[in-house]
Amino acid sequence: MSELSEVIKITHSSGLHARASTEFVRLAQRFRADIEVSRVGGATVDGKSTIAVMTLGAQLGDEIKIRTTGPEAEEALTALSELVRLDFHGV
Amino acid sequence: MEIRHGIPVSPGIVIAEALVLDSEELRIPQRFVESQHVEREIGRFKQAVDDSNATLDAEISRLGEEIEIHARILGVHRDLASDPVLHAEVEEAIRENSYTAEHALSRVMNRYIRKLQDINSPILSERVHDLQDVERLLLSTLLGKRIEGLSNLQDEVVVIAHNLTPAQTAKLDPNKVRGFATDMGGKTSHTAIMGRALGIPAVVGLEDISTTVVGGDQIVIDGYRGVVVINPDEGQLAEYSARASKMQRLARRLKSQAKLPAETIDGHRIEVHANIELPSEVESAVECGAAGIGLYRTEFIHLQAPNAGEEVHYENYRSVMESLEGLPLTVRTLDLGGDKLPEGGLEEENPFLGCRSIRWCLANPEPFRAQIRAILRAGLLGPIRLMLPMITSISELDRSLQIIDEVSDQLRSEGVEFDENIPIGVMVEVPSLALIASHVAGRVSFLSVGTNDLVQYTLAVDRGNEHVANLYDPMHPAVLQLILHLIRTGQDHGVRVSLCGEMAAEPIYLPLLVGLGLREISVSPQLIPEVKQVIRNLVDYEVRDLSSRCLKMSDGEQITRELHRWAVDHVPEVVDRF
Repeated sequence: MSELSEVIKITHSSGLHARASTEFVRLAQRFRADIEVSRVGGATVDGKSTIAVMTLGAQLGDEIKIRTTGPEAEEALTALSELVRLDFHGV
Repeated sequence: MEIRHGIPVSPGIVIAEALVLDSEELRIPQRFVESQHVEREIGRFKQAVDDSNATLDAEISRLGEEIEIHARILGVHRDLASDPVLHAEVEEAIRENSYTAEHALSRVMNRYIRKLQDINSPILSERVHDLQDVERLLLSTLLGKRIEGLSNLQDEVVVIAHNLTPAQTAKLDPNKVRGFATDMGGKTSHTAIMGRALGIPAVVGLEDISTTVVGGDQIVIDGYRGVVVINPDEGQLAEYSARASKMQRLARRLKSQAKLPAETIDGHRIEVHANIELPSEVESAVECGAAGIGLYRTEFIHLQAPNAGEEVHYENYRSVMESLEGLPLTVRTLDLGGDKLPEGGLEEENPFLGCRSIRWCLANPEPFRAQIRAILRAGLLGPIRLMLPMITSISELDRSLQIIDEVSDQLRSEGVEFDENIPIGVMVEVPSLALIASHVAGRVSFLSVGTNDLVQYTLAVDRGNEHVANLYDPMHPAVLQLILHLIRTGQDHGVRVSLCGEMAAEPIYLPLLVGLGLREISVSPQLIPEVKQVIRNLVDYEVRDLSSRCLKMSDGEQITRELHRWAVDHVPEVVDRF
C-alpha cells in the first residue's frame, strides 16, 4: 500500500478556512484514498471533513502537509497539492 | 467543572440548568438517556441528518441559480451537516456518555465553534455563524415538536447569552428565569437592570460564557462576587447552597424591617423610592418598603407593542397607580435608543450619541403625544409626576414643555378630564444640563439625577462595554462635582433633587451621597431593605465630614478606598458579603 506526502505553503489570502476548506474537502472526497492534513507545528485532521479542515487554523503563509494512503493515493495527492498551489481556483 | 469571573451586577446566588440564547434559541430538555437506549439515540441523530439534508437540498434547488450566493452558503451547510468527523464524534459522545443526541451534538458543535473563535481571524466569524446555523437546523429537526418556547419554559433556568436585549428579555417567562450570565455588559447594562428588577442574580462581562456553556449544563451564579461555576462538583454545590441560605436569612431579616422609615441616627429622613420597568414589579416594591416609584421606565410598553397608543399607556399607569394605593409615581417618558432600540429603528454608528430618548420623541411626536395624554389623564388617579429624560439644552426642554402644553389644550378642547397641575421634571443625565442647572430649575418642579448615563457621558465610557468597564467610575471627582452642583442648585431654588442611578444602591457610596445633602433616592426594589438599613446606621454630621474629605481628593480610586474603609467600620454587615 502506498503512502505519500507533500508539504505546501498556503498562498491564498484567507488561508485554508472558509470556502477554501470546502473546495479542498469536496475534492478529497472524490478519491478512495485516506487523506490527512496537518498544519506544520499543529494538529492533524481528516482531509475529508470540512469541519475539521476549517478549524485547523491554517492561515496565509503557514505550511501544511498532505498525507495520502491506500488506493488512488498518488492521484489524490497530485490533485490536492495542485488545488492548494493554485489558490483553490480563486474562491 | 469550570469557574469564570465577571462583573457582579445583581446580587443573589442561584443553582440551575443553563438555557443558552443566541447559539441555541432552542432549549434542550434532556441531557442523558438510559444506556440501553444509546443505539436508538444514534439512530435519531442519523435520521435528523438525513432529514436536514433533504430540507437543505429542497431549499437549494428552490433558490436555483437566481440567488447563487445564498445557495452556495446552503451548500456549505450541507457539507457540514454530512461531515464524517462530526458524525463520528457525536456518535462517540452518545455512546460513551449516554448523552441525548441533542446534547451530544451541542457539545461537539460547541467545541468546534470555540476552536474557530480561538483562531481569531475576522474571516472566520462568519464560519461561526455557519456552524451555529447547522447546529440550529439539526437541533430543531431532532426536537421536532418538542421545541420549548422561551415564553413557556417548563423548568427553572439561568439564561446565558452573548448580550441580552430588551426584545429577548421581553419574551422570557420571568417565573422560570432564575439568573443571567452574559459575555457583554457593564454595571448599568440592560441585563443588569433586568436582573435587579426581577430580583435575580446576574453576572456580566464574562467574555465567552455563551460559547463555553452548553444548554442543560448545571450552573451556579454568584451575583455578589461575580462568579459563575459551570458544572460544579459536590463540594462546590454544598458550599454555594450554604452561602445561598445564609444570604437569604440576612435578606429576610432586612426585609422584616423594610417598611420602617429610612432615618439617620440623628433624625434626617431620606426618601427611598423604587425603579421599576413593569407594572408587575410594583407589589414587590411596596413590600420592600418603597416610599413610591421614583422611576417608571416605560420603554417596555412601546417595545412590546410599538403601536401602543394612549389607551395601552393609560392602562399600564392605571394598574401601577392601583397597586401603589396612594404612594407617588414618577413616569419617565419614552427613553428609546441607546441599548433599547425600537424594532426597525435607526441603524446608528454611535447610538448613545444619536437619536435616542427625548430626541427620538421630538422626532416622532405621535407616540410621545399619546404617552403624554395618558400620563396627564392618569394624574386624576393619584400623585403622578412626569419626567423628561436626556434633555441637553434649554431649547430642547422648552420644545418638550410646549408639546405638553399643546396636548393639555387639546385635552381641554375635547372635554377630557386630566390633572392640570401635574409636576414636570427632568432627568439630568448629560453634563451640559447639569452645568446649566440653575436655568433649568426655574422651569421645572424637580430634578432627577440619572447617574448611569451621567457617568457614561462625563467620562466618555460606554456603560455596556466590558473592555472599558474598569474606567466606569461613579466616584470620579468630576461626577461628584456635578452631583454636588445639582444638589446645591436644588436647595437654592427650592426644587427637589433625587438620584435614580444604580450608584445610590451601593452600600459604600450611599454615605457619601447623604453627606452631600441628598435626601431622595430611587433604586431597584430588591435593594431597598439593604439601602434603608445602611441609612439607619448613618449620622448626618459624620457623613458630611466624610463627604467633604472625599471632595478634596483628586482621584476616584482614592475616594473609593476611603469610602470602603468607612463602610467596613460603620456598616460591616452589608459590606462583608462581597
